[in-house]
Amino acid sequence: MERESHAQRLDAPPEEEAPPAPPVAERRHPPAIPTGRLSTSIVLELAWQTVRRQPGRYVAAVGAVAAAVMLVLIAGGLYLGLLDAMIRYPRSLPGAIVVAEAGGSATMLHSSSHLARDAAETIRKIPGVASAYELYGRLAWLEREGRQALVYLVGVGRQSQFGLPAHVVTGKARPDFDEIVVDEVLARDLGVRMGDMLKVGVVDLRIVGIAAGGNAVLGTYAFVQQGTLVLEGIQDPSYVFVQSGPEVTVDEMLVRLDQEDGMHAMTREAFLDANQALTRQIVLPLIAIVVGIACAVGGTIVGLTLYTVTMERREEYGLMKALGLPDRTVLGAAFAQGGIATGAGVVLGLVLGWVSSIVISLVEPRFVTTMPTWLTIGVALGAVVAGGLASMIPVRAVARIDPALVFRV
Amino acid sequence: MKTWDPGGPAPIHAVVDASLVVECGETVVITGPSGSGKTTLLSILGALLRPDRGEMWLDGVDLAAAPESIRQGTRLRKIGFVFQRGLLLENLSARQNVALVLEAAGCDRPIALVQATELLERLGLAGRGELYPGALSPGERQRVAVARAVALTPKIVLADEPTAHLDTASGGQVVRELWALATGSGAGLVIVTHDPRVTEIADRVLRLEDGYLFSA
Repeated sequence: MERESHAQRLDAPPEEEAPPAPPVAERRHPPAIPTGRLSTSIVLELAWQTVRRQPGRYVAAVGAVAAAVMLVLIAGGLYLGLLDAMIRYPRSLPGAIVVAEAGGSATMLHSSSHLARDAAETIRKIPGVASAYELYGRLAWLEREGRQALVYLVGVGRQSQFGLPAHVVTGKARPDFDEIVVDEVLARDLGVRMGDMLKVGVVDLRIVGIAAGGNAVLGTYAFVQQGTLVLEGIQDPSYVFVQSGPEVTVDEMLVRLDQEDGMHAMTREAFLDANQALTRQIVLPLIAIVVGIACAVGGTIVGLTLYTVTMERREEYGLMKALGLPDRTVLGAAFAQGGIATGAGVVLGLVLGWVSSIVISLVEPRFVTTMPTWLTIGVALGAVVAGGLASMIPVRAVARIDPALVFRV
Repeated sequence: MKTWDPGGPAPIHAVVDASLVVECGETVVITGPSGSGKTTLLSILGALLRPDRGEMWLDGVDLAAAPESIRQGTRLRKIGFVFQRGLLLENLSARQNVALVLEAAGCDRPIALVQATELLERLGLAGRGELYPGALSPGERQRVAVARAVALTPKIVLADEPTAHLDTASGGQVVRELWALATGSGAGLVIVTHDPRVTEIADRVLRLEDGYLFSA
């Protein structure tokens, strides 16, 4: 190869002139050059290799998502568990209709309802009533060696199957006179076992059974013989559970029952809902706050972490742009790394949430978590959406990177 | 012409008057002092910057006026880049770095990886394809960059100080391999450099001073 041996300055006529640009007529319109294929595999490969090679940089993002998912899952599970616990026992009682004192409250653990002594008899005479069972119950304080616990005392009949505990863990379900069946959570709280004595008012009762399903968090259900309640001055039923016959609808039955003096009839669903209402009113705002904080903190950490990690690699993003990789590939890679971190965080958070709920229940049986599939899916989807939004922060930054940056490195 | 206005008392005329034609298979070396506008000129030639005035024709298309989508596609398929320090994607292996542009241009991954391996072997990097850039020497990194630059048989290859961070032996080897691969496939080669050894392989040597390009 020969090199030109003498220099020329621009102001001197050049020996060789550059050929002129093609005439306008010959100039081609920009051809439809393919701008580069968007390959999902390229995008995922770029993102995956980035995360795989530098996992430590994404720990904060994964951890933030996992913590948020776990927190929301536990909060939601505790809330649903609490709502379920509130009605576990009353849900076990038969009857499509519940009759309470007119003008009174239908919440068993927070207030009392007093019906007339012959309320059940009156109800059975109403046409269309197939069955009517009285529930005798009152709020009471149990005492053991100076420690107290609030319970809803349910009086069960000597022979009737109505009103018995939903599930007995040990001992018997139907207490005799001077005997009591308590919930396992109460037993744990008071440190009592089978055979121990508890005081209710002036009456001493022996524990002959320990039941499950009677824990309503704010209180528990305990079961005594109806005669024991009479000793406490409780002779009137609190509620009557009614089942109507096939010849009359529930709505028609409600109308008939409401016509009776001193009675207010409601569907079973309305009764259960009323028993959950106070809990919902108090706890739900707290849950909403917890969820909001978890999302805000988690999303902020994820967004900041991804932005920092991405900006540390802005030189490489500039290189990809300079090489001509399509924008959607470059931006897709930036977004996908956030997706990978979010996905890993969601999976980890779900596992931690489930494990934590089990641990919570073991450590404190009072708090029961319920995690239906829809809750798990909802939390996971919410986290994915939030993570996706946070992932847009570095994407916007990458979009503004000048590809000419590579020449300034 | 390209002017920068960083907000100071006067704008900076990085490139004032540069007329250049690069033929197929021709090697043009551009020298000049620091701050003379070489990087700006190379950015314009690489369709990374638009000139304020003037035209830039490649394959019958004025890239200076073309939309960004055309410029982007041209950079991928018709322009090869070799940057300083062998700029590679650190989280991809050497082979993956080369295969990336092949895949982006529509090549299936298995084929892209095979072609990338063959290219690396031609550049004396047999068995080094699975290593990541951090495990490669500066010379090896630059050879991987050369492989990536010529992988799609571009019309022109632009090299910015390709020997800047290399020892004498490595730098010479890289330049020879770059020249052989680029011109051997009919591509034009433009090298911006301070290294006088590089001028030995040039068909023409030009000098850029104060934004003006002239024959050296």
